[in-house]
Amino acid sequence: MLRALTMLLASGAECAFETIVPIIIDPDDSAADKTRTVEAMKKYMAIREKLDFSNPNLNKFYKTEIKPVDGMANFGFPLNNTRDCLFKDFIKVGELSKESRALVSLLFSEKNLNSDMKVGFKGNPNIGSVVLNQFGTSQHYKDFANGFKEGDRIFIISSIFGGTGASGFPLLLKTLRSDKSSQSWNLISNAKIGAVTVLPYFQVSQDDNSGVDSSTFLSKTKSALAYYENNISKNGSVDALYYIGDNIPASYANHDGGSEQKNNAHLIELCSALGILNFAKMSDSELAGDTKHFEYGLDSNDDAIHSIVFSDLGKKTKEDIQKPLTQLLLMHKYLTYKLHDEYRHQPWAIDNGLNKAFFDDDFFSNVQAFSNYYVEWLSEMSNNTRSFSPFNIGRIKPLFSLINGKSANRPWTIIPFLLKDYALFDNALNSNFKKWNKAANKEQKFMEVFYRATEKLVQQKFNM
Amino acid sequence: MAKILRLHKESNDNITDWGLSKRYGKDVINQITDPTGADAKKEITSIPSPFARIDLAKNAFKWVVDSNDLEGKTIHHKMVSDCLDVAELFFNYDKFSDKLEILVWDKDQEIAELKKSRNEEHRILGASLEMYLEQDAATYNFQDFDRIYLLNYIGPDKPAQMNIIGATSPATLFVSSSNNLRYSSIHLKSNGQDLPFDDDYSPLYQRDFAFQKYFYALRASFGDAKFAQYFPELDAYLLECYRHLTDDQKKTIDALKDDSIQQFEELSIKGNTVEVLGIHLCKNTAFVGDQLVSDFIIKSDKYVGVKPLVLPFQKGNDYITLRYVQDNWSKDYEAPIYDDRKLNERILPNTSEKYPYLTIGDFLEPVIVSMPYEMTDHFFNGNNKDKKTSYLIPLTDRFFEFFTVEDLMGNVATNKKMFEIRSSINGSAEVTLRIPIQKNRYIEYSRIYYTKVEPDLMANKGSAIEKRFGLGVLPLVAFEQGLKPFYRIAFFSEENGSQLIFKNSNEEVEIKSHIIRRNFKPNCSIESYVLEDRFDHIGLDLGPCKNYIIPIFKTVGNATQFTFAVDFGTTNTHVEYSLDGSKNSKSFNIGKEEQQMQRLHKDYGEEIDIKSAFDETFIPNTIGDGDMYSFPIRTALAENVNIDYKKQTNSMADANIPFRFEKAGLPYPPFYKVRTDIKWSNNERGRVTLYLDNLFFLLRNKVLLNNGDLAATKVIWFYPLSMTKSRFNEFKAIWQSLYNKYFGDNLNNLIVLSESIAPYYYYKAKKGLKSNAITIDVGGGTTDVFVVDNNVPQILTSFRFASNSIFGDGYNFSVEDNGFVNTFKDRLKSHLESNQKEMGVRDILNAFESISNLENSSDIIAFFFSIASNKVIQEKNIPIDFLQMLADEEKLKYVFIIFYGALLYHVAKLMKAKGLHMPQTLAFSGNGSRTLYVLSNEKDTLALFASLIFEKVYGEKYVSDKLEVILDNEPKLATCKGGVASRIEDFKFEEVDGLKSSLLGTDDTTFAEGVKYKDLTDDVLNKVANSVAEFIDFIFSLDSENKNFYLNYFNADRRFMTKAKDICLHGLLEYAKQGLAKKKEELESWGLNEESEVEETLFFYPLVPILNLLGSKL
Repeated sequence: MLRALTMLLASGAECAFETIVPIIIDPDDSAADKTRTVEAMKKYMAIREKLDFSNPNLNKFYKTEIKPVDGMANFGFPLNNTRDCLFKDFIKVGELSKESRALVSLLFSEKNLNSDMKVGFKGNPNIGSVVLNQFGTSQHYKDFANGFKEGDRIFIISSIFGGTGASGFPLLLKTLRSDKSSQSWNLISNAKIGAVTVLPYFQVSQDDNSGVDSSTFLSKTKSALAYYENNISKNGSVDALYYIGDNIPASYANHDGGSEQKNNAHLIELCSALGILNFAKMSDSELAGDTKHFEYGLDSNDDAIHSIVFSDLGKKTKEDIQKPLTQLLLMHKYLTYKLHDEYRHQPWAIDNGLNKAFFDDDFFSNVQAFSNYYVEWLSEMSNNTRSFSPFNIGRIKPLFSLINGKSANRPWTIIPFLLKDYALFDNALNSNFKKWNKAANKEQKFMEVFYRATEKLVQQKFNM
Repeated sequence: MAKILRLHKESNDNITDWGLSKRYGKDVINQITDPTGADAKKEITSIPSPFARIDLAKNAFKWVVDSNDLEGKTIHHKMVSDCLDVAELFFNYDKFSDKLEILVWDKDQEIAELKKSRNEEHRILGASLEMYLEQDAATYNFQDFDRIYLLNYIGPDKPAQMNIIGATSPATLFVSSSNNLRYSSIHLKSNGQDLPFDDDYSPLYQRDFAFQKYFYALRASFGDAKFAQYFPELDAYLLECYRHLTDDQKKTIDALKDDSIQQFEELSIKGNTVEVLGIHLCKNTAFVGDQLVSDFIIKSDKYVGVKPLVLPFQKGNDYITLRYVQDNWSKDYEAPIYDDRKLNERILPNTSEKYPYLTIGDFLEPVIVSMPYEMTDHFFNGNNKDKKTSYLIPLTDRFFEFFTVEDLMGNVATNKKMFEIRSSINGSAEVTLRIPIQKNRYIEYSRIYYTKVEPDLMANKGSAIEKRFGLGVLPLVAFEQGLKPFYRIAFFSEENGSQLIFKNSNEEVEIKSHIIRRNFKPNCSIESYVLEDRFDHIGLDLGPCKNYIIPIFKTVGNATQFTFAVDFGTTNTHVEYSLDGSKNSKSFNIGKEEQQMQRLHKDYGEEIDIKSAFDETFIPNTIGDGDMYSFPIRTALAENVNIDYKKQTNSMADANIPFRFEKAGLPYPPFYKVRTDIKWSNNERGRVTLYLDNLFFLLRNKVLLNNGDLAATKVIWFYPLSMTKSRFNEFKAIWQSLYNKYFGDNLNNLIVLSESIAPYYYYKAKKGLKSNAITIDVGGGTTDVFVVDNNVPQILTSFRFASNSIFGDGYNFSVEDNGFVNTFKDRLKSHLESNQKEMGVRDILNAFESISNLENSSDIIAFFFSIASNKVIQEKNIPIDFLQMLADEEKLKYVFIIFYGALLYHVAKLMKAKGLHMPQTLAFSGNGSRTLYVLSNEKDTLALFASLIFEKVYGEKYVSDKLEVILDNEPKLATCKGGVASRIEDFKFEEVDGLKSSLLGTDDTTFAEGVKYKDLTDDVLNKVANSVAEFIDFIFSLDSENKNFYLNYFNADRRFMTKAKDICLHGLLEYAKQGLAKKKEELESWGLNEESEVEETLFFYPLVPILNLLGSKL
């Protein structure tokens, strides 16, 4: 979901807050999903570093700042003593008093006690609720807390049927609301906190040796929902709670975690990411009072809808993401299919000094890499169940048939060959390049050129 | 309408994009269909709280209630079932206190400890627990609890050192562990339900109702409204379960008040009550220790240990007011008729409680043994009113684990017999057994035993089989502590492979000896069981079935002191007894009221062999005057043919006194041989002992059966003067050992008297002896003479010249030559034969037949004598009297003239040699002296005969005081009666020995003292012969000198006088030699040799064969 958010932000989707500080709490350092998300965010940061969003710049690509808590590598909150460690060893059962040992034996099953926490809590959030509690006492938490400013908000993302996230959410929430160890505890405990709790939307193939068994996902969900109701919603400890899930489940290979846990991106994650933006946009007064609960609706009557395009999304969503995502995809297509043929000849490049050296440099390679992540992400969503495939992402002609279910406006010119496909793109690039800040660096110029061009194109072709 | 990305379906929502919705509460959660929900098996692990388990339990109750199916198989049902199991384990904690331990987790204390731990992880744990306890308090009542009480399983098969299986919970009262707890299931089986923690989930309403009641009482104690507020899910569950109860059960629950919980005892640990939010948990009062509290508990004083229940096997409402397991018995309940599981592996019917119970099949045998005889009152007849058929008691050993025979014969509550047998016309029998339980109630078991069918255990059908056997117990006395029991059990069976076992309480008693004297075909077996331990019931083991015989033992006191005098004679043995020191005695008897061998049946009908086997191989029912059998008895012992005296032998087993000897019942059983001549028989010390053992056994039983004091019992025995010191000592040792065995160790109560002296005391006390008196005891083998001069004992003398000398076979003569036998045998026989139609005479004839084949004339003659006193002869007034026949045989008078003449002549010579006065009284005793009547039945005539002899020997005349002769009708009894009457109780062998005096028999002055057998030269014997010849002249001249005295007074046939004298004078020296040879032979057998002193006169040596010759030749 963080990946989806990163993509949205990269495309320039509107975020009400300037900065997002992701903290990933997951003992499974090796999870492939986590790895590529972190990678994407790092590229995002590297790209954004070269950009400037002050006036008169118009570019919104990579606009919202993503940054880690100071000193936190890979956005991850490091968990102590979980590596190669069984839960019972973690809590040092043998050294407990007889009575506490007895209580632990009651509360935690043998399976709990003997579970290896390297890859998380494998659907045992009750273990997580203890192990993760080192959060509150850590230096990283203090760093986070010290960086917290009035008006800052917190959003917690978790799935309800898993292990780590499922346990981390209530624990984190309780910690945030109750911890008084930092100077800013008062700010935090009174901060607006939102959360998305992801209900099952996929299942894993049956594997009796695995700690993950999707046949229990729904049972677990129902039990946990009841817990949330009683211990999170009812007491108002969260201001906004976003529920999302799907009853047409996608199917993934069964991996407890680790480098093999690499699941295709999913619409649900995108929607969840949108929840963050939604939360960010709400005013304090809107969030006052009892916990607000949100659900996500498509603009479709088809319960079994399989392939979702922009027109199936709600109006607001469409407004928020259709344009930026299309822009970013257009840019991707140009960079991928056209750039290397054209930059030596096109005025937007020549005049801005975007020469070979620029395109060989890190910045561009980051942009290109990120762009590939973006397409990969889109592709995954497209291939998932339910499929979110708003775009035709391949090397297609005509270029502007890229939005599925939406045809481009016909050209108004009488010289159609000049104004179709990449020609039109080049035209858009060149038409804009002189009109902005000459003092800007090459990176800024590059991004500005593409943002303005794509914006013009989507306006022209799709009235966005 | 929009497609909302969510799991539940709700039709009226219309949200697009992220839109405000509502909280996911109960409704939403319920709408999420879980395809695996209906049979979800996996533990739910999604609760993000360390107290997930508590939450899961809470939700499980809710889930189950919402599902409207309390009996489902889901994980939620499992959790509910497990929680209830935990609740029940707390409830039954006392029962499992060896397998469970309650640990107490004190919230404040333990968290504080964790938080200050040096382990960071412990601090994290503490902080986590604390945080969740605080923040989730409202949901789980965390704010209101102080402690969690945890059940730690410490019983068998425990997988780890600590095995928490469940605990109290502030949210649902109880919570279980999510671990697999199956290891504990079989060890923690509770009341009224199956195994805890198994896969067979039990909703509350299917559990033991007492437990349910307790649960509802817990609720009531907290207040129903408050309970619903604090424990909404559990409360909903209770309400749902309530709907499934019966109307009666509902009534019970409805009646619960807030103080109803007080009917249970609080569960506390180390002084602290186990509680949840102030609700005090209680204990199951169904158990006290391992003992179930139930009205069906067997009422047994005897049984130690966990008492089982006794359950009816038929449905009905007889017992519905009784508490079964926590709850009352139901009219639909029934126990199986038969349960082949071990007691401790049984499951109480209609519950799944493993607890021992008993049913009809545990008590009643499948087979009952019937017998076509009437039982005596001395055995328990099962309260059977039908007299013609009797039954053994078809009870199992198990019955006797719980009850005594007294219980069995007694009543249970409401004066009902515990046991009854009712026989019906078709031969079947109905047995009713009432087993007492609590509340003065009993369980009644009835079973009909049918003839000619195989038993059917499952259908409660028994089989009745008829068996024929006899049984008797001797003595039927309950021995008190300290008294050594000696029992003989007579067993006569017509069944192959039947045997007896003996039990005391329920312990098998050691059988000291089991002698099978005869095997069972073609007649009944004859078996004797020797027991020296107390027993109270006898099992008849027929192989496939076993029934019991319950003797009714007599309890005895020890109020009476008995004195017995035992005259163990050569031919006859007599026993007299007196009570409490009385000088008046009577012959030993066994009256109807003191029957020693009590028989199981009154009569054995056609089984004559059983009937006679009692008398023949044990003892008759009664002995005494007017009975078939009476004392004195013939001295005889019936030995088993294979008896081995080198081994331990037992009376009435290896050998018995054959009371029927000379009476009836011949031919003698081939397994037994009757021995006579026991007293003087060579080598067989064992035989003497066994004979006397048989006697002692009778004496002891008589004492016991008449409330006598065994230890105070005196036994007087007698010895003949002619007995050597060593033989005397040997006898003494036998008597002492027997006294020891049967009466005790006070040997002062064992008194020995000389046979010669004893009669004196009798006559002195009863007949008024004058100051100069002689008692002459004529026995079978010896004659003992005691001379008192001026009331001072002066002489004791004894010689082997007695009735066997008359009727025996001399030294080497044969039976064929015996005059008496030859003369009277046929006559007596034809006499009997002419009366053989009379009942019982045939028996005597049978006896005649076998005895007359014996190789011993003495035995035959003894039999001749016994005929007159035979009960049959007397009752039928059959005129057969051997003594009278002898008296009528005039030519044979000479035999008795010579016998008594020689006897008196020798005594007179001895007295004269000692310088004593002529006697004023001559008292005869001993069975042998009855033959005086052959001479004359006038005592004056006999006195005259005696005085003539004394006058002639002394050479002086009786002047004023004439000689008086005393002779009793029962002269044999004088010894015993004298013994009882004697005042000198310590007449020692040595003192008596000092009076002993014998003329050697050579002349009028030479005494035997100091003469050894080696000194007996031919010269001495010649002198003996001469002195006998002198006597012959003396005795025959007495007739002529006194006007044909023998003819006139004794009716002696004069025609034979000369022939008689010739016979008497012939071969005297030779006979003297033979006599000496015979004597030496006897001495050797007793280990003596020629160095031994001559202890009797040689005078009679030649006369023994002469008497025989007189008998045969006249």
